[in-house]
Amino acid sequence: MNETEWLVEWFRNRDEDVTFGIDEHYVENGALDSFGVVELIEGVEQNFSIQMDEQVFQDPNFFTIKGLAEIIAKKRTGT
Amino acid sequence: MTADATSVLEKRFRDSHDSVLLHTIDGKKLTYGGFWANAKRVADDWRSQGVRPGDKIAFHMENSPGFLCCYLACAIGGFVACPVTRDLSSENIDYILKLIKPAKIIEAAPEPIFELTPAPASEMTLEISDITMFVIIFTSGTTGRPKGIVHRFEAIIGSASSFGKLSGMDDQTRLYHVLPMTYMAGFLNTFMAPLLAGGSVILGNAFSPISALNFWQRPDDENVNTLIITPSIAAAVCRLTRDQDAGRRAVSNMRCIQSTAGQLNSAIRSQFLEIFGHPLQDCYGLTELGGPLTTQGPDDARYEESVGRVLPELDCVFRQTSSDEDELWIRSPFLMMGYLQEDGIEPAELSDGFMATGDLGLFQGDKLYITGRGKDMIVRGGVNIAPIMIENVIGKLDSVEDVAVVGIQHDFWGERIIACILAKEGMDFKELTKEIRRHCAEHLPVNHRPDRSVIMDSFPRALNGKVKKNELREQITDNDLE
Repeated sequence: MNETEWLVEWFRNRDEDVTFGIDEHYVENGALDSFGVVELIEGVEQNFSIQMDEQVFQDPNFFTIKGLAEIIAKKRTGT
Repeated sequence: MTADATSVLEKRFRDSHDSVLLHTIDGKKLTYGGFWANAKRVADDWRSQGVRPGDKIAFHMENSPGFLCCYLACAIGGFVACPVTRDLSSENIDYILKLIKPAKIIEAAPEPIFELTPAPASEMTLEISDITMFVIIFTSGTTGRPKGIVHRFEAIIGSASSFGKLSGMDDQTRLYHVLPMTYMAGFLNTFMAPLLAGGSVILGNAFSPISALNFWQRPDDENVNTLIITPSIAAAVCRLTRDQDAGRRAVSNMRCIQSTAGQLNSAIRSQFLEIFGHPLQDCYGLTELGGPLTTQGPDDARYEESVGRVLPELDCVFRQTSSDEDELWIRSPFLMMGYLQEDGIEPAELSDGFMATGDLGLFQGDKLYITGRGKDMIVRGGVNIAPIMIENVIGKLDSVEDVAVVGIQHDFWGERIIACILAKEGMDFKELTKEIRRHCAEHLPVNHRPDRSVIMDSFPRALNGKVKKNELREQITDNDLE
């Protein structure tokens, strides 16, 4: 399962009815609230054995599945 | 009660004229004199646009130094500050604006001019009077509509002064401000109280999980010694602080870390103490009674789950509710003028000068313990949420026979919103849950949407048919919440 697939699955596990594009802002569209963001960060860190830092939040892509998948992939490869 | 609140505030600005009041996020500073000059400029600008003393001004904007200037501009010009939080539904925002009929709506905060010549101390005079309306704070009402809580100027000044003293604030206080400025805690506890003590306010971004990863950097850099947060912020910071050494370093400078706007549960208390080595001091309050009502000392907060000592100006008694529980009633000189209504101000319902808090509690020595809630209200992430507002929305669905919404304790939110549903016969439960979710997403603001919907066979009811929510809460199982 790649990063995008894992993230889509993560959102579906929270709400199987959820439907939104992978380039949509998942907080602005109401798919995730602030507690959800906390859980997402923890889930990503645990699953991919990476550590998030505040730098990633400067990147507006953090808030889309597509962008976050890219951030995770970069962290995993250390680029 | 402060004999002359206007003099108290004027004197503070004169006495602290050259001291720094505000440190902005981008590293700029405003002295008390500079801050006054900026607020005066804003007040003069509004006057030139026809705003008159007693007129209401709606603030509908993000946290900023200019937002705080607007509050002082209201005191300088004798206007009424009406902060309107941005996370309300558009329907409720319209309702509030219709109710207050503002002379002006401010949606973009005025940018402070840092080079502005500080106001001369001799010209620091306020047009507002002690007993006139100064601020209207909106909070969720038990009817489901926001309630406008109207406060006199002297109540705000008196409450902020007393709370600051009880919290140990003084001219050395450096408070880190991360709470929404539209709420009482983001205005009175975290701005007016340190200001009246002659201290400084270090502005941070309004808190979000995004800032939690690096929460301690700015307090550490700015030698912050006072922090006021909510239980949800404390929970997020506990979970997301990645550099715990940095956290402990920042916290080692702290004289006081308070948690307000929601019940602090023991899990967050002990987690915070364990991770950061500093106790989280509880602070209980009610906007109607002037905002903060108690504060816990740091030593007490290590060992006790009280909400601390009560402000010395308050009188507390307990009276039995119809279900034989001890409800806390308080008499306060900082009591609101009343609730804003279409046709004026409706005063608080008092009995011998005491107002019911809706909370249950007891005293042990001079420490107050809050043991439960008598009124039908959920506090999620520091925001009061009226269950009836959600019940009215869900109840409109044809497939729902009846609905009762309750709060269930949660480590992050304080309480989670659980919608208990009686379905019409023959309904597919899974489909119904989806329908409720979709319907709430359309009709409720994000923070009012149920975290879970639980389908039940029946509700426990009193003889008059009213749902017994305490019993209902007990019927919700852990399985229901997964």
